[in-house]
Amino acid sequence: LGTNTASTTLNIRGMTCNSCVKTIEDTLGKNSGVKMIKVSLAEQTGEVEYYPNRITPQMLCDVIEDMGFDAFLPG
Amino acid sequence: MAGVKTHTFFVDMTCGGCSGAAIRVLTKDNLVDKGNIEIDLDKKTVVVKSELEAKELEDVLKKTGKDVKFITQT
Repeated sequence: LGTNTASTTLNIRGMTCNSCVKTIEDTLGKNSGVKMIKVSLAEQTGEVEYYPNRITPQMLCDVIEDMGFDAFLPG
Repeated sequence: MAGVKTHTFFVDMTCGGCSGAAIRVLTKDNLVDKGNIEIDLDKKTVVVKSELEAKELEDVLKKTGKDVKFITQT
């Protein structure tokens, strides 16, 4: 089983308080493709360590968008 | 519009960002028109005028990751 992970930092817009941060961290944390996620309200970003063979950064953005926030890849 | 009902839900929103997310999930793919959504942060309620069934609206609201409970439908 591919246990190697990759990490990416997504830009997340629409969060204004810690409960938004916690909701995103909880929801993504439960995703089988996500190993670790750290969301920064100040930076408006989410640092995600994920299993590339299970999920892609673009899919991570889709999950966040599905929750009603905006997410886009860096660069 | 035939069959439009007013559905009231409890959604555990704590701030503007959370209510913004609730609006966004409801208006995604113009499921519900923004004008038909009323949010009360103090009472933590979301009132939606729509032809859709309460269950479907509840599922959409649950995408926000928040606790959602159906209250009434008139």
